[in-house]
Amino acid sequence: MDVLQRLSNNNIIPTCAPFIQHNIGEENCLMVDLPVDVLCFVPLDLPTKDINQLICDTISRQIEAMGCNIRDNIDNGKVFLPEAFHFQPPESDYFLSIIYPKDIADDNLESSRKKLHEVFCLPSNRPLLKRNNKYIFGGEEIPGGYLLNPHTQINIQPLKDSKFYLVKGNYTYHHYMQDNFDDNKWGCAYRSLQTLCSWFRFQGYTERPVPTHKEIQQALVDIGDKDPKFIGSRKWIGSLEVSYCLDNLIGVTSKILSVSAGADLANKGRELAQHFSTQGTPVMIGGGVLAHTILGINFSEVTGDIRFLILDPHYTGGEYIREVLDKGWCGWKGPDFWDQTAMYNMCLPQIPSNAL
Amino acid sequence: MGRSIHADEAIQNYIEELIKSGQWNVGLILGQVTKQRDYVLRLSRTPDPVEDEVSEEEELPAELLEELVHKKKVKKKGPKKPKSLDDVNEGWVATHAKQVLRMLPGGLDVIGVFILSPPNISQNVATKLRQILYQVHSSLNQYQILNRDNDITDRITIHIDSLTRKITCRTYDVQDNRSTGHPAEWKYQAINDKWIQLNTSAFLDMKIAVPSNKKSSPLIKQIQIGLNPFFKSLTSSIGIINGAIREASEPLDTSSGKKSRGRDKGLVVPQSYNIEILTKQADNKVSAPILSKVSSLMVLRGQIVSRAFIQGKPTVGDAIHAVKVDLARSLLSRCELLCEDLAITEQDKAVELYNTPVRVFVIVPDSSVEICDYIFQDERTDEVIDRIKELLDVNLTEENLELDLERPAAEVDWISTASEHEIPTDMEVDTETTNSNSNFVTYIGLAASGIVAGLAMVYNFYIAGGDS
Repeated sequence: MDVLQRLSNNNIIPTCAPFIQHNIGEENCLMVDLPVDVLCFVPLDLPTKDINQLICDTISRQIEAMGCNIRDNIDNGKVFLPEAFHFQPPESDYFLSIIYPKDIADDNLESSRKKLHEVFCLPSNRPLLKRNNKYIFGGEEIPGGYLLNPHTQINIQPLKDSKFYLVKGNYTYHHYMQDNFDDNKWGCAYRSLQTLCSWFRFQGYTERPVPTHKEIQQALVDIGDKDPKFIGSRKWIGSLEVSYCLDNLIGVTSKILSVSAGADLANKGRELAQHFSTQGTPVMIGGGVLAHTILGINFSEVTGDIRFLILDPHYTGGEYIREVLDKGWCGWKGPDFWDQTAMYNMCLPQIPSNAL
Repeated sequence: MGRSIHADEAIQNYIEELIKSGQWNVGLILGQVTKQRDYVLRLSRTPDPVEDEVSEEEELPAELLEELVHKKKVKKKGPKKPKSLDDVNEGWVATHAKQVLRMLPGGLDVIGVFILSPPNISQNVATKLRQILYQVHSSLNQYQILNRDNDITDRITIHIDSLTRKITCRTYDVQDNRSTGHPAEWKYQAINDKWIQLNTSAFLDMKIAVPSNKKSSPLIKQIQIGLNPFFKSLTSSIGIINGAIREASEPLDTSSGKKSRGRDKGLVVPQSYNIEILTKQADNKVSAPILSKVSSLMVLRGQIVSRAFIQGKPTVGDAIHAVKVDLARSLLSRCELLCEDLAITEQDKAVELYNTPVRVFVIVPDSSVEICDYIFQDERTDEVIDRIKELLDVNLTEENLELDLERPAAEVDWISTASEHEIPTDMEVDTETTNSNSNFVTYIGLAASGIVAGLAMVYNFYIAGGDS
């Protein structure tokens, strides 16, 4: 779509024959293409004709803000391009649009973020306004083409007297054959780990991109858990290795929860509920010969009934949400989903409490 | 394959007048070239050169300049006709052409040169004609800002025999230096009531930042460079005709049915169309912010009224192009006229206001076409009449002038501009504190790919530079 300007249209230009105002004197001049990106909230009953004015006002405000941002960050003649990011603080209805200068790393913007957290009364112990925390709008393309939060498109009737305890925040679905890498039959735990890492990246706890199989294996060699010939092999890993990698690659510690038999998982409702309530991180579970990711549970304190929201890394197809949901690659499973006699270990990543 | 040239019948009377004066004459052919044929509006004789005005022409080649310097030694007061045809200075005719071009609305051009003389006046009438034609064209070429690929480059020379009234007509391809020309057919027809009028207006709001290294360029050059982005966006702009977007190759006049012939001739109403020009954002995106030093900033604001005239079987594309040419030509002409009269300040820091002249249109008698001129605030309307007489050899009265199309700038206009574009004078940019209080001068162009997300803009603004 192109926007064209009508030459004979006028709001503010004087209607006289042209005159020239000549400002003589040396000045600095900046030429910049501003990536304007505005978000407006509009009442549902607002007539369409009024939307234009609203958008124009928002754009003007953002341009002013971008101007201030450029000016505040000039360093020795180097100018940083301002970029707009939209954030929705957790469990709130409002959005914040913040301008950050491109090419200045998040780490160097900590003091600005601290101020913003104060101004908007946001908790000061977790990152909410880092670039990766930005709100992802429906239909927006994810770099890499991964599916984002596939579970949010599932509608399900809750169990009687139950509550939902779900992962909090964005993650991407990683599974077999993705990234043109054939890990069919052996990479399920790696893929689950990738999903976990993606969660930490979206919440701003790390800027590290989702690790590849090679990087995961390298990490285990680096900490001495595996021999160098592990790299490039197709060896499985378990929840313990997953917790080592989370620690080594992104500085995240984990709790390990074990059950001696799959049937026992039905009794872990309260613990998992507490995990999702306080941490909200996805859980990697390995046992028998399979690894999965638990995205949440539907648990009734009253009846003890439980269902598990499972993200299955064994899917070998493409990024097609309908197929993933219809075939149950992301879906709710009952306690009978687990191998009732096998031993299971779960890796429950813990949110770091350091940073903004 | 000779071209066919239709010249208005009134030109015959003009030729008679020139012959009556008993002298030979050189002059310009004004009209329009189209694919099918050329239309000649009128002929205008070049006034006799005034000695010291000729040497003002900067573009003259070295040998011509010497010739003129030599001529200056033979000093006589007032305009002086060269002794013989061979002495005619092509540069002088080219200067005449440049000044005449400013008076022509879009669609009309200087499309040739003529010589009216007895046949034995010189051995080389044809050669002389050709020389003058090429010189005129090369002078005017720098003003062809909006060239199209399929522009017709044939121009006309005619020799009018003052004894027999015979007209020898030849066209040359002025893009080709070696063209020997082709004979062409000169026919008299009543064409001057068949011009179609095209109207538009444009509001302009431009910032011209003059880089520091261009500080010593003449003001007009600075302005010309600054106007280039506008001309570029004009080239790629589209036009809406009477409110409708139409295919460029469609004929402009789609009225069906037989054209009125013979009987209804007196009732032909000249057609006119309103055209709106829509410009796209110019393609001068920068990938990263660029900080540079400028020696001055010019803000150009105001409205220009544009007209173009077109004849024959023009397409929609032809009509829109004619209007664009007029916009560009008018804007440039005003700035040139302004700079010709201007005394530039020598101060280091100043804010100056210049008013470009106001445009007036006037109908050429017995026709549906108009010509125009520009009038400064301190000029009188009879000066316009005199100028038109001198340059175009057209007799008009002040009643014919359409004076109210544009209005001159008033204080209220300057003030509204000044408050928006305030340049802070002595400011310190302190990169550590966050409360400087400079203002911003902003210029916004839009290209959108969606309503809410992803608008890219061009953003020019000022930061006062202290000595940091």
